[in-house]
Amino acid sequence: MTILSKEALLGASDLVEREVDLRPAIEGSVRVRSLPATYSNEASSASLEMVTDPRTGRQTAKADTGKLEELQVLHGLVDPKLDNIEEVRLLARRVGASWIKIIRTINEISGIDEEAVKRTEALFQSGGRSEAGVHGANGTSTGDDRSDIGVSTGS
Amino acid sequence: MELPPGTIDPISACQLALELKMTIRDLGQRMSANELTVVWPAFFRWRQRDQEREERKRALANERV
Repeated sequence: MTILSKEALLGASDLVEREVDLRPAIEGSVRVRSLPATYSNEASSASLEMVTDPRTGRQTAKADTGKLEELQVLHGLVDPKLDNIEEVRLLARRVGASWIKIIRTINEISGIDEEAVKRTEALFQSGGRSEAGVHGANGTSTGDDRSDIGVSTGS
Repeated sequence: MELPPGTIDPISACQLALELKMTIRDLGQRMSANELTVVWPAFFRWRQRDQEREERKRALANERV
């Protein structure tokens, strides 16, 4: 087994990446990556508005879909990497079908859609226990020895 | 509360940060959106159901005594 260099280790990521072919609209492809939790934190604060139904008191988070998509591209498009939200907005204004393709692929590989929620819920319904630990919906493992987070189980 | 996919409500984020002894920022930097918004919430819902099951068992056992 090769020992990683510090640069290789610091540059490593266990997020899923995929190439998106933008033809025929644009001659070329881009590379996207599954969304990190940083996206979730930013999306929650930047694009959600809480709306309370006056009759039932039920709260629903109303999302600015455009802002959500912009953040998805900002965090999910890795090659080429856009530097800021203004560049993302410029891209959104200039492309149509390609934008949708990029967003769709990011959502697919990120495991945050309804399908992923249902699959994960089913795992926990059945106990979710196996020798290999719990697997995330996007194929990554969580809670096993590959996890970056040290979760204490007894304290 | 209904949330769009890939987002998390601030209370759940704080609860997770507390359990993992991390800051919210650390959560963002150290896991995927799938783990934060799909896997952990599903785990907490399972744990809640499990605790409720245990409480019902204890209540039943106490009634029999």
